[in-house]
Amino acid sequence: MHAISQYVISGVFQGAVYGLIAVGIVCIFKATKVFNFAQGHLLMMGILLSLIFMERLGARVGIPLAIACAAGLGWVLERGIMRPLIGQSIVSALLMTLAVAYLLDGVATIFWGTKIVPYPQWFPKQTFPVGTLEVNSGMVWTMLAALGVFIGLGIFYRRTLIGKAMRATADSHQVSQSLGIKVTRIFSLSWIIAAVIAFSLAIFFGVHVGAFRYVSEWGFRAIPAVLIGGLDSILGAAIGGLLVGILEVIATAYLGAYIGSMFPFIVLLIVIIVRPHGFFGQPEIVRV
Amino acid sequence: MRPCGVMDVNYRQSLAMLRTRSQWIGMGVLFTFLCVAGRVLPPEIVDVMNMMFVSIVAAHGLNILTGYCGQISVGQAAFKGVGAYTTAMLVVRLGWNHWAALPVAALAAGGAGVGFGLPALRLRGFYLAMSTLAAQFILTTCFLFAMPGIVGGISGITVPFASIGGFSFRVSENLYYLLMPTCVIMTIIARNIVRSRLGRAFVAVRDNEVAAEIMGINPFGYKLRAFFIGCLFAGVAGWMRVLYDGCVRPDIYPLMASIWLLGTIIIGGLGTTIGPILGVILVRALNEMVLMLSPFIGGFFPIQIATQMGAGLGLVVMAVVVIAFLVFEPRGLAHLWEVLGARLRHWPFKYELA
Repeated sequence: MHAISQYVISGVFQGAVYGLIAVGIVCIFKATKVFNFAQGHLLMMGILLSLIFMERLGARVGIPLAIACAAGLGWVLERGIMRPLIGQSIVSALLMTLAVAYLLDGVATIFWGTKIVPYPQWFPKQTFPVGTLEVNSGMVWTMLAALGVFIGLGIFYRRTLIGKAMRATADSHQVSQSLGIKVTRIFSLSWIIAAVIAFSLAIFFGVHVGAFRYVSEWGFRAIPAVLIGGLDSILGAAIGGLLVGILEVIATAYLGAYIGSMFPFIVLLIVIIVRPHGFFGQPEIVRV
Repeated sequence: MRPCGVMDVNYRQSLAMLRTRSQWIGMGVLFTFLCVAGRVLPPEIVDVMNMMFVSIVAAHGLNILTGYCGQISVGQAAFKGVGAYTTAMLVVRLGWNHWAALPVAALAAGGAGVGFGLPALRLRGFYLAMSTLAAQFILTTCFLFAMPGIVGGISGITVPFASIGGFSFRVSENLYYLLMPTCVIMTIIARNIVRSRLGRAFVAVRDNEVAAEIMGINPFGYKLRAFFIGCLFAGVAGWMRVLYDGCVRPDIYPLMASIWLLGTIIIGGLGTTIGPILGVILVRALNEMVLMLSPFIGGFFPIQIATQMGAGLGLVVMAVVVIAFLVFEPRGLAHLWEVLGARLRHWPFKYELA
């Protein structure tokens, strides 16, 4: 019983990380219909940039500065790289995000190399008792941050005018444009939101794993979470993330690292065959 | 695009791959060059060319799958790995010779491709790409962990080099005369597949799946065929790679290699036979140039940065080239090649080719 609850808690933590990566991908996909393969690389850039800012300027200045950088990075990526591809085939857009992933990978390698750098512990390190278990503060804060982001996004999309405009854009680019919504601005905004989410995950996640280049791998490992939940559903991203995180941890514990590391992908294969649009996604209707 | 005035007057001409005299002359020059290059050029360049031949075969397969049939695959390197591991296991564990292992390796990779293509029954477009992503992760995990005694685990399997009689393919100048003909043959096969009924069906499925289905093409069947053929090519490329490396290791076939191949065919031009060839040549050449230049550029920077420059710069250059092609020339080098041909034909007059 002790072991199981331990696994569930670390599964929930892993699920929170997957869920936050997934929700970034979902935000971009909802608005622009582009699947962003570079989300994990945004996370990596977040960790490495915030590390630099925090070392130079301390946490109080460094964190807001890193978030501001995220907004800038998201805007530059959309405006400079993704915008010229509007109207082209979905393949080119996908490949463009892969090229962005390559670019960020290369930049990170040039400036940081492949070594692991310890990340500053910017919040007090302590453990919280949960029943008979002790959970360290890094995990707790990451989970709380994930919860906050999900609730915040939910309110943003449901209650605010711009959130509603974003949902309208997700429904139909043409109709929302004719109703006076600036679709290109929505595209920029959704990239900015995704980058900010990635960077805010980074400042919590960095404390847990340390700063190194291969964090970007998590972006690919979060893809089962996105697809299981459904590509255009924020709730789906949260639940998909949790499901994949818990399943992965439990499979690793009981079936070994071999099965554990590929378990999410096996689940993914089964889910997309049974329910191609995930559990919460909307099926698309194809006409000739 | 055929120049004005070149017309077919009989079926043989219409079916011919090489139609005009200048095409025959060009092909003759290329063929002669390829035949002597292995002996004339310095060994380092021959080595790079060997690597190019391997990549070209894999890129042809991916081009048939992605460029012609429109099914994005981010698992080509893993399927290449299936071919390579099959070869290595047959040669080392069962004592087969390399030549007998080739068809088995190709079929094994093709079979794996069909297996992961099966979700095509219910999925379309980019959801199917996710199935290949799953293939990449599942297959590389299997290379790493499954039955270490047979598959080799993290250190992989060392494979003896191939030889015919006393002629060993160990040194790159000799290996060249094995990889070059293989690559040429696979190129001809790829060209013939895409201009057959099969290839036209692939294009129909790519352009509009529903319309293709209405016209009597079974999209599921043709997608599976595209997966089989694309992965068959990957299997052959894997076999070539084993001969080149003399070993198999899980880290030779990572996700990044799959993405690299996708980038290559984008640069070359999706849906053309010459595209993968031009793309691989350009990207490999750029890569070699970066490797040559990085010590020079690194000289301007502090020593701890200089060591990382090589690896990072290669990635950045590749990314920038792909981004530039996607934005400015989405039809790739193949289109530039056609424009160049048209310009030369009409010289000194200008005749814009769309």
